[in-house]
Amino acid sequence: MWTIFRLSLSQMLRPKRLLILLVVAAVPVALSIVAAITPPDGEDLVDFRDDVLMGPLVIAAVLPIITVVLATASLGHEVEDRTMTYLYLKPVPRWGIALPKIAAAAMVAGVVVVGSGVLTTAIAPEGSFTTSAAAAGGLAVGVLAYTSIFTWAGLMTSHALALGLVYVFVWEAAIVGFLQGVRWLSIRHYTEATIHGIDDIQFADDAAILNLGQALPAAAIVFALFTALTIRRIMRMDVP
Amino acid sequence: MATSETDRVANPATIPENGQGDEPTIAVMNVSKWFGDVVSVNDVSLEVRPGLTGLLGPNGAGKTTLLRMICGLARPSGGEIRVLGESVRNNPELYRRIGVMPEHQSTYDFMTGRQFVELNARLQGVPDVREAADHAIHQVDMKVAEDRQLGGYSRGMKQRMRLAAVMVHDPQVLLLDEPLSGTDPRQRIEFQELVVRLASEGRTIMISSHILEEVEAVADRILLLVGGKLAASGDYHVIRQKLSERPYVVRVGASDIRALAAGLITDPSVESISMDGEGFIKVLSRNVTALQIAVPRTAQALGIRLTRVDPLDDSLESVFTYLADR
Repeated sequence: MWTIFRLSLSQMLRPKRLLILLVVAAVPVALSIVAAITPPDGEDLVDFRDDVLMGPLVIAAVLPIITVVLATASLGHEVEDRTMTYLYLKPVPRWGIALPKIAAAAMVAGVVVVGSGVLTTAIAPEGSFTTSAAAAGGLAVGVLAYTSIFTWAGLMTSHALALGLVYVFVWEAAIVGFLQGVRWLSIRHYTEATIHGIDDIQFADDAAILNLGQALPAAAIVFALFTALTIRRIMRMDVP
Repeated sequence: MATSETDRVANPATIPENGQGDEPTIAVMNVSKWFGDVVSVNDVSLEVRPGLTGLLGPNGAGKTTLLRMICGLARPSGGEIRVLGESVRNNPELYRRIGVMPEHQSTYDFMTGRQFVELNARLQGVPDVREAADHAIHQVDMKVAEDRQLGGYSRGMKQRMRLAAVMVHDPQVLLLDEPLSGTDPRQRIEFQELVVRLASEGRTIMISSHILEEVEAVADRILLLVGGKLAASGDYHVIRQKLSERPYVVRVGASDIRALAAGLITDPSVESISMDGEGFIKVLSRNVTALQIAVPRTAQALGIRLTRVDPLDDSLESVFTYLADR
């Protein structure tokens, strides 16, 4: 397992891809620096942090984009590049392929996304330790859930990245915004509910649908379900 | 055509757990594979024992699909496959005793050759990774390039390093799909010597190829796959003999084709002659070597100038199809 984990890390930490992901993650941090130096006039600074920096940028963009890119590539590129055979034709249990792949994608995405969220909340006006801890906790939950779903999707289709972007920008951003009852099917809302659960000042306006006690089990179920589906897929697929 | 040998397929119940004894190393029983409406492998039964076995067939014959099923990469649509007495699909522990080199050339190109071989050794659970990698790389004579990135290798170098990765855990069974693809003549000879030596040590080696001469040089026994079916199996020399008896058609153009036809028809190597309506004659023979001598000799004797000599239907596919129809 450790060998596959290290292999996955070295695949994900290729300089070009990492640089692009770091640039994406740096956008909200840069904006929070600007906001800290020149606070926006006539605006509630907590609202600005939540409604401009954390919500639309970190949670709705940085978190899903970085996680979906890494997770879909994690096993998806092994299949597309036909290197999956080197893992499959080894005396390694199938969960021993899936788990390190998910773990590596979650770790890299986690460091980048959580780092971005923590720095953004720490630097932005009205930042505090609790705010940053809440951001770290919520984003970690989001990273794990997205990673499990899109690692599985990467095995199922070569269009997993496009599918992921549709899920993020059509389903979560548009449809779930209008139909609040389906927030149960939105990782973004698990993330926001977790952040609100740790620091109840954040996302106070949006916290009515899910609470921490609901969001964490829901995220855990999603993670367990899609991890199991990934293992099952590896066992059943014809490896190209 | 399935030979009696191919019909002699092991009853799985009689194969000991360890795959030893008289039972075959690889037993394929009525295996089929289809993709939608396309049948890639059609009810194939065969067995492979220690030594070198060539899996021969034209492109698209189903060789790669069959090998992929034998090594567990693909699930048969029907039938059963046992390797070393065990079902191979979802049986990862079996890969400690099997080495598989797929047809495609993909590798982790950002790694050096040595890193790639060591990765395979670690995944195989080899106790001394460095020593095993050293040994495998030495066997394929790639020591000099082991610290270069795989992405910069030539096709032949990559093939050899992939072979080192396949052999790094010293497997009992080697399944090699088109292993000579991209190698130069010297590398081919070295590879052939290597696999012959590995087979002489008691391993079971199965090599697929669409090139008869590649298999001819190493395999004692061949399995001939045509159109997804096992067309023939058995000793290489017997099948080669059948090939030499194959009817051979040559189209000949000459300054006086009627006189040439009259002269050739009396030659013992010629079975029949026909006109093709375009000013050429078609000469049918079962003795290619003799025909190659007879045509120019007859033309010279009759003072006729040859303008064209074309073998017809000499594609590899036609050779295989001929054998399949026998």
